Amino acid sequence: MKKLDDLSNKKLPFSIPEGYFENLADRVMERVDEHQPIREQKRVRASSCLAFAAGLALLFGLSYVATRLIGKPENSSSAAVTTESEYGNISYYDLGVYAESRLVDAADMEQDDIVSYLQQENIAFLAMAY
Amino acid sequence: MQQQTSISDEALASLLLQPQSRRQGFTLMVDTYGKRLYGHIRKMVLTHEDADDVLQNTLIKAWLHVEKFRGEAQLFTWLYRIATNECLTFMANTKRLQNLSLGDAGELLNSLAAKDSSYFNADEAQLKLQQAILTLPEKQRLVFNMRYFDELPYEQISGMLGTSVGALKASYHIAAEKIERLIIV
Repeated sequence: MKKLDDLSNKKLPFSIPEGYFENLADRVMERVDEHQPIREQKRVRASSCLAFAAGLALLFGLSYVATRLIGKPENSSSAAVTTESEYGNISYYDLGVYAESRLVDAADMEQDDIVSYLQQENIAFLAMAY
Repeated sequence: MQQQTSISDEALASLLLQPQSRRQGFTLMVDTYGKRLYGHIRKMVLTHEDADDVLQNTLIKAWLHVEKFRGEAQLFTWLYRIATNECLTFMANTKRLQNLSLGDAGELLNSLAAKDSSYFNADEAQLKLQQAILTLPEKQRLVFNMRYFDELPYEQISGMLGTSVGALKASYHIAAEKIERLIIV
């Protein structure tokens, strides 16, 4: 690259404000410290969302286990089922409707609340065939 | 170009990796490598204000991720890599530094000289060279600057950019030929 070397002598046309590098590390650390609380807040916010999601997942998980344990109705397609078996056949859809309409933390929900809501709203329980 | 450091990379890394000495290590690291990192960034982003922003972002990232530095590369190589990524991110968001024709590059440098004359002062040859460099694609520009101005060995550039030595040589050769064609008229 002889031509390039001859032409420019590799001198750059940029200059720097005097004293720019003095305390550069301190200025950077100030910026790091300023950002620290923001990062903390974000973490707290993220963990609240995670807790809500975990609560919701737990509710669905428990209801699934409950439906399996309480047992299937003899005729799963029949609408004429007892109250007890109705409780055992609350569908994921019904639970979803309930959770959405209440807009409450999933961890606050009790099985009785769900059942009374479904009865009050006259929602037909779906018999689910697993 | 040899690194002129008053403290070895090993000693710096050791200070940085221990929480109780991390701040002291960081200050020493900035004192040791700050100017070279600034030079690398300034050549890419041109203005002092932008170079200051990109350098500070580079150092903040280095501080936040210092535990990821495990000594598998030289400390300076690791810092250069962060600085390069920060430059490319900045340039991707800055239209005035992208896809420049020779005319665009000339206008950009003239406006820089008019606005920022105390920090950008080029003679005719330097202006022509900078103008030609600005017409290169970003990565070619990086390779050219690192090889031509910083005189870094290809092996070191390869570690910094994650590109093979052969590809870097080809890239530099193409860049240098294009620049020579543009400045020798």
